[in-house]
Amino acid sequence: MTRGNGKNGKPPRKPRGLTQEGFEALLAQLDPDRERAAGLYETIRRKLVRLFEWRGCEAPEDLADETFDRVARRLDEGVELKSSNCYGYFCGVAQFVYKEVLRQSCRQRRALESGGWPPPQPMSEADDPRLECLRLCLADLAENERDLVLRYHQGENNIQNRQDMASELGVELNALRIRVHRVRRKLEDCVYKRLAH
Amino acid sequence: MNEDLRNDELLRSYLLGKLPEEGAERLEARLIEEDELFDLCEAVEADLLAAYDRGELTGWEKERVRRLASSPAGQERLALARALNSAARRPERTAAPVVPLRRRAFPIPQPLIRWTALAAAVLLVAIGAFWIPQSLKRSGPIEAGTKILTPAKRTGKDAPKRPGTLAIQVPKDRQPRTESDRPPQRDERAAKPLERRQPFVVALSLAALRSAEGTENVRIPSDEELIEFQIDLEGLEGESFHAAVRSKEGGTTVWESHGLGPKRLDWGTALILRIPAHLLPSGSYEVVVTAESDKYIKDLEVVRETR
Repeated sequence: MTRGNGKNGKPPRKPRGLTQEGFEALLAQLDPDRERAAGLYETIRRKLVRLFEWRGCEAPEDLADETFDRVARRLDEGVELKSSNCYGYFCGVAQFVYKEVLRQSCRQRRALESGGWPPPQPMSEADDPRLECLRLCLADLAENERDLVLRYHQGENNIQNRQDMASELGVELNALRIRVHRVRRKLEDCVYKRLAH
Repeated sequence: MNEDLRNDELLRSYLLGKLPEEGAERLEARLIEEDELFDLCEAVEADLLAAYDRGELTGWEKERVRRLASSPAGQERLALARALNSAARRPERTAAPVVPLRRRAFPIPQPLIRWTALAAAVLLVAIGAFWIPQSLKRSGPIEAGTKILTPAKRTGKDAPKRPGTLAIQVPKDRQPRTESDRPPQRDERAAKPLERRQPFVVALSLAALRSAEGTENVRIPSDEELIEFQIDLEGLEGESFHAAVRSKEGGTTVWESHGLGPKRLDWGTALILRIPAHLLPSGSYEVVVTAESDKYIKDLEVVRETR
């Protein structure tokens, strides 16, 4: 799983099909400041990977790289990225890439629609190292964040439970969702780091 | 339509593959530009994964979510959702104790609390001793039809500032209002009209009804008195529906209703069927929903079980 976000001083991950010069030219078009450009690049890349995942594509990271390759080629041909249409441009190219993948893999699409996906095989709780890492990561959280995420995941009467939580915090349900999701992301990063060690 | 509800429905439909292609492309253009909407989409996906792990999704929804979790990254996210569900079920096993989600009052020394309470009690008695005789002098004995009202118990920001009981005169032609905000206790349920009890909610999807994939197993505690089927009407337009629940064993209709309208819930639009639980003992049933010329049927296997 790619973790670089360009914000921790590490260089952004260059797409495989792109030369270093092409990559630098792409960054320069995103922003004159290279560090800001790197951050923007990683943000767009992460979003593209997720869009391809949500569309059910295999190898979403490769497809995101393909998208960047094509944008870089068009920049070489003289297309200019304006700050107002930068995201939209990448999204448009990504949608073309997606449609091509769909056309090329009709058999894959039939499998997707017929529901031929095998269920993910869960590890037993006793064997799953993630659970222990999660417990340690939960202990590292601030108390209110830990309360928030655990209570949100309580299974009983879930919808009512979440509505009650949102009322107590004085926020809308979707704002609660986003808050919980940000805590989840912290946990995800923490678990990932612990598992890696 | 509330912006939050619209985004929520859109994102759920998008992740479950229910949006038409044009709608999905428009949404993706927004997702890539709007950070908060993107975060919300990831949050809705995480909720779907957690619901999948808890067995809360219907047949075709499970299949879609399984697809979301099929990539290595997806499997990691599902594993995290599973671990969070597990940790939430057994909070005593976490490294630190879980504290209820309540706003804590600023710590006040105990003796101060006691003295303040004592002073408040003395003041109330003094006010009462002065005020009641004065009011009796003005209006005579409390007449029949006067109701003693106790402020409803409320928590949080709605908590009453002054505890106590008020005695007021109520004209004989007006009904007293004795609403309480606390949820009805078990022994009070029998005294309340059916519609005011807290129902046992079962979510069903209309798309599943259309394809009739398999039988939905529904476990309902035996002491529940009211069951509410929330049937997802995503993508279906209509103002009036007919719904019926039929026993497959007896071939009889155990419940039906005409002229049902869609209801807006915070997760989407649904048809609400409120059925007295005694009409659904353990057994095999079919839920039939008819909208104009379309008919949808879903098989249910109901198991009534003790808690």
